[in-house]
Amino acid sequence: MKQMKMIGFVIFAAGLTVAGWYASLVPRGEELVGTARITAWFDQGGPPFLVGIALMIIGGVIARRAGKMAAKKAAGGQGEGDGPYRGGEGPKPVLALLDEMVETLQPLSADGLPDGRKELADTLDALLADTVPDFLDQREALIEKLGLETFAEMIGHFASMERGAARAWSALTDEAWGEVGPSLEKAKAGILAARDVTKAALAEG
Amino acid sequence: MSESATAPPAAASPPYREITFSAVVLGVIQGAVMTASFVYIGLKLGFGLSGSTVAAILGFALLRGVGRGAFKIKGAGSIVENNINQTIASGINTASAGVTFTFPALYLLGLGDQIDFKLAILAAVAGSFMGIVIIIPLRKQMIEIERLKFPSGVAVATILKSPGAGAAKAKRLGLGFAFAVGITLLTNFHVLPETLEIGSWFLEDPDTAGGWSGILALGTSLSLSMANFGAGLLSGRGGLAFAVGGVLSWWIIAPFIVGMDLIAPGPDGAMPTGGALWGAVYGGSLRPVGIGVLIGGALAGVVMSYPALKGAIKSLRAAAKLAKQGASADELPPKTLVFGLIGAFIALFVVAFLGSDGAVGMALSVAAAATIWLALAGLIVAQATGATDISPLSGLALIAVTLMLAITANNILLAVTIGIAVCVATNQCSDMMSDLKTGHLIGGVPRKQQLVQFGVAWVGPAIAIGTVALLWAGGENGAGGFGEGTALPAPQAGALKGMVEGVVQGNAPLDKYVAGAVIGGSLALFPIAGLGVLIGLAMYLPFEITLGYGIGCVVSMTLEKKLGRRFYGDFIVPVAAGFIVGEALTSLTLTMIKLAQGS
Repeated sequence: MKQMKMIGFVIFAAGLTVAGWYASLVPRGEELVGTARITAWFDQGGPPFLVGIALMIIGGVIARRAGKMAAKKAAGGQGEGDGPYRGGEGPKPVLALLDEMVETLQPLSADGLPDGRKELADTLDALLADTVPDFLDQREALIEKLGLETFAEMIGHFASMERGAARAWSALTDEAWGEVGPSLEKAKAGILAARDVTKAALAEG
Repeated sequence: MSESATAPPAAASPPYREITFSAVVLGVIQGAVMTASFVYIGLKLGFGLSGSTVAAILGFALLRGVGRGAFKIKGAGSIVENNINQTIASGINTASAGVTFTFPALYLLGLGDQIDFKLAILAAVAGSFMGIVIIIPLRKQMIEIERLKFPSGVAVATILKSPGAGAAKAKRLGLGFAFAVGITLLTNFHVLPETLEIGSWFLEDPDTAGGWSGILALGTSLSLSMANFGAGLLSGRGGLAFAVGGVLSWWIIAPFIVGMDLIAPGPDGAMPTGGALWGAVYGGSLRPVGIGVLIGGALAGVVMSYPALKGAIKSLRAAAKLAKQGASADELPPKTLVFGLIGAFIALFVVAFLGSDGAVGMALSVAAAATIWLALAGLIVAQATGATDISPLSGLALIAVTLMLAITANNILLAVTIGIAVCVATNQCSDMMSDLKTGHLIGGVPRKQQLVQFGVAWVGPAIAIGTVALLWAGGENGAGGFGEGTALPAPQAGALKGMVEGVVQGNAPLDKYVAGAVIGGSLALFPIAGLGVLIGLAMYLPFEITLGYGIGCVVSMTLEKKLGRRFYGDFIVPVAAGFIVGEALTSLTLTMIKLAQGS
């Protein structure tokens, strides 16, 4: 599949180069104004330009197909299991990452603040700086598996979790203790909803 | 963060300050002052400036420092409150570039006495509101779904978060800041060149260089802008396609078209050399094709990401439903988008109707085309700034005016007036998106940011248009205050004037726009989101920018691969943010000093 993607890329790049060359051609002729410029340009460089565009389309379709196949395989769509990357040696499965984020957030509480604020801020920082990017690394595979519309729904909840966690961190920095609890609850609700949407979509296949 | 034994318990802490009277007032004052100043800078130097970083830093000093110190306001100057302040300030000031690039052209074209200020302000305000509503679904698409980087937004978030980010990150931010200040000062005082003309080092005489090898050498240069390099560092892998587009344009396409004599010959019929060759390749071929690619890429991108946009609107609807049931809403409801679009259409219709002496059919066509173009241009600018921090504002304004001239049968006054709306809207779009990225990273509520921006969207256009009119009236006998031969040459408006005259004479490079748009549409087939916009932007810009940015991307990718993701967050982000902020503030300060000295 990597080879197929590479072939697609080479054809696409060749097409882009040829199309770019002839798109840049400045038509020669007297009094070329308005749409006459388009006609003159097409007469002088149209055929090779169209060859370039055709190569771009062919290369693009091949690369897209290869990408889809790779994502399907990576997402466990070939009988390897029901979760992305299950059984593979690649990145951590997305469901495992979502579980990890749920497990990280669930025990967090604003009770007793300001005691323990440093630990709480560090936990949120690690979640946002490490686990979230790990999850987002698998965006393409997840889009392939969930479909763009379901992915958009899931990532909306996920982003709500990110904003909640970031707001809790900011409130801790500003010593606005009363804001930390509601922000954490929002983050928890967001990650649970994101996990539910992902699970349901993966279960549907 | 040290534990404080005397800190109040959770129950006793004051409410978290976000939209406050002091944040709004400070934001409006900063925004108004920056708008008037940046209009002047735009007319003098030809470029726009972003006020977000200045506003964020002043916000800390005034909201946090003065608020807590002098006024004893508990919790004043919180991170999210300062975010509201910088959102308002930059939201107002963003109109300065949109107006400066377009409105002064009417004076330069000799139409100053025919200007209807009410219509010009109405168009600009309509554009300003339109820029905000358009990003309601785009915010989800670009920040949440596509995860674009918005380097300036990240830089501002890094500043806002600095009180809690720890001493090590603050030091790195300071290090990047100091380095950028140093480089900017050295280039400003000509100790270092602003651009390294790398290719010219290999030429005996750059002025007579010609042929494919000549353009290869002439085109290869590197900007020493640390902000540009910093944007590349922050973008990493996501921005690589932009750098590749630059390589394709200047190392593959340019030598071929020159070697094959595909460019326009000089007035004497011979192939140009030196600077004229570079100008013929860039201005005659790459730049107009790049504009076409941007448009085609954005249009095709809308088609390809239709399911995601549908999903984004669906989740906006779901959030609005929950809000009706009492839940707190993060988003403005989708009906805001619908009402905003209808409102902008009506405002533009009124402008076109009154500007065309009551021609209803033409006014409807102008309003419809302008609304569609505003939305598309907003999408292009948001995607371009999201991936690279660079906005193709002037190119999009140029297309808008060309389109309007075609629809209005060369009614220049009306076409440029609608151009003001487009320019203000697109700038508003990129600024709002960048502010929302900042908000996303610090836990701000998007709805609150959008609401305050709505509240002040009319302020910037009115101040910017008023400032331009005042400066024009400041000339001898109450006119001619800017333009060629004056202290304020108004380069962008001068370029627009030249373009308008060219279009009226039928000289617009329509063939390049059409060919570019076909390429842009085909680029959307390759499985990299936003590829058309990135390649188009690379063709639209000189290589010195894409090369500097590309080096930043490669350095970032290499360091992240070798040293891990933590290194990116802990080291690259603060240093790169320092680069961006350092250059922005130094350039601004130097510009103000120069203007004060009257040089």
